[in-house]
Amino acid sequence: MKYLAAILALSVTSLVGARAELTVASLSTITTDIAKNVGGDRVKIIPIIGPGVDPHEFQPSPADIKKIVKADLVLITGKHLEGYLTKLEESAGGAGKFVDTGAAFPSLKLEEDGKMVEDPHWWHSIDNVKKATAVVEKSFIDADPANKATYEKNAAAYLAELKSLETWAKKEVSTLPREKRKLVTSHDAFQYFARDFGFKIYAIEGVSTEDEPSSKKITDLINTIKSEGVKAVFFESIENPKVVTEITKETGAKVGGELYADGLGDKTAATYPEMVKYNITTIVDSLK
Amino acid sequence: MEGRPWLRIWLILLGFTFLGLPVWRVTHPAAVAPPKDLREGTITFPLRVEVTFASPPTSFDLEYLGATLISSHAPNRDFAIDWKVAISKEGVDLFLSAEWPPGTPTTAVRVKVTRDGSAIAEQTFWGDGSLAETLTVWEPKP
Repeated sequence: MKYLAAILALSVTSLVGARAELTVASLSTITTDIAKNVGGDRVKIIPIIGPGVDPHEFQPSPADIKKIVKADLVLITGKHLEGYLTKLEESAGGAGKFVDTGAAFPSLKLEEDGKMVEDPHWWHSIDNVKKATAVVEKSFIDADPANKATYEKNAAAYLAELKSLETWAKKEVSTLPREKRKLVTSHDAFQYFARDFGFKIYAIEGVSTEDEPSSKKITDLINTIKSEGVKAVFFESIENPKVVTEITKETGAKVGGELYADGLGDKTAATYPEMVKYNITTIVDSLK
Repeated sequence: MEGRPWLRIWLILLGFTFLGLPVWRVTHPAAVAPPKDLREGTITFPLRVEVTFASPPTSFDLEYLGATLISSHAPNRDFAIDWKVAISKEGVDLFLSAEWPPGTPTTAVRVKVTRDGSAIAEQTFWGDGSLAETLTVWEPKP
């Protein structure tokens, strides 16, 4: 009888253990990376948007919606980057399981075509990513309290890594004179970075990659690059560098290199710390 | 040796010098010449940088454009250095980093930059075991 009870207890424990795995769908490579670090082996991540996909133009397919419906939680970056969110919430049976990681901190507002718009590219501030990590940690604990200790331990380790990354970033940027911190990029994705590190941004396109620059805007930008003595112009990993090349021909500025603006890459910037290090090294080395 | 007290005194002094030199190096900041900074279109200002600790860190570094202004292990006192720098209209950044012994509660470092006795930049930074912060110094108003 004792043996039977022990076997029964063991079976129940294994069943509970199997259920403890949380299924999390993620609508950004940034939230995927945070979720991997906080969840560790207790969470199964379903990345809906992979590296190299433009989140401004992304629309979920029926297969994506099926995966989202099955997930326990859905991580979003928020700040209106996921323009399809309302319809997706309706399809997925309500907003309850959607976790808005961008809601933990205020947005930068930018003027575009006479209107104020929210800047969704909050991950270019390491401090924002720390706050988003706390949001992910809380959502995992709420959904799976049995693994609270694991999520707390993992989140603390990731926050320590982010603190060390922040130290490195501040030290690296401090080697670049402030008058050289002028960043010409394909689209207006680096305002949070500019705020934290004292840069001025001159973007070819607007907040979204879907915006097309007018010829007047490009002419004005060329004049600014010349008058401000900007040394380099940067293109983005998911953008066509043709316009950037044309601007550098007109201005004499060099092509500074490729930046990761809208998410992670698959090789040199496969994790968030790698992306930050890659972007900052590219910017500082090109503008010095 | 017994009949040569001067030789004994001299040997003791020599011993103290050999022992004292490493101790002096550990407890005092390395005197590093500030980097030359005479960028075009900028005005050079003589400034004084004062650093005050609420509790002594195990290490402290102050840098400008990657060059060290102060570097010290186990500083047991506050610092003040004279510094000449060219300041553009965009300002200049001082990068400071410090570490405290494990278990030190949240503590503070005050950095003050003065010109002719008047503060032109002043900020308190909070460290939780360590800190890495930037202080921007703007061109002094005439």
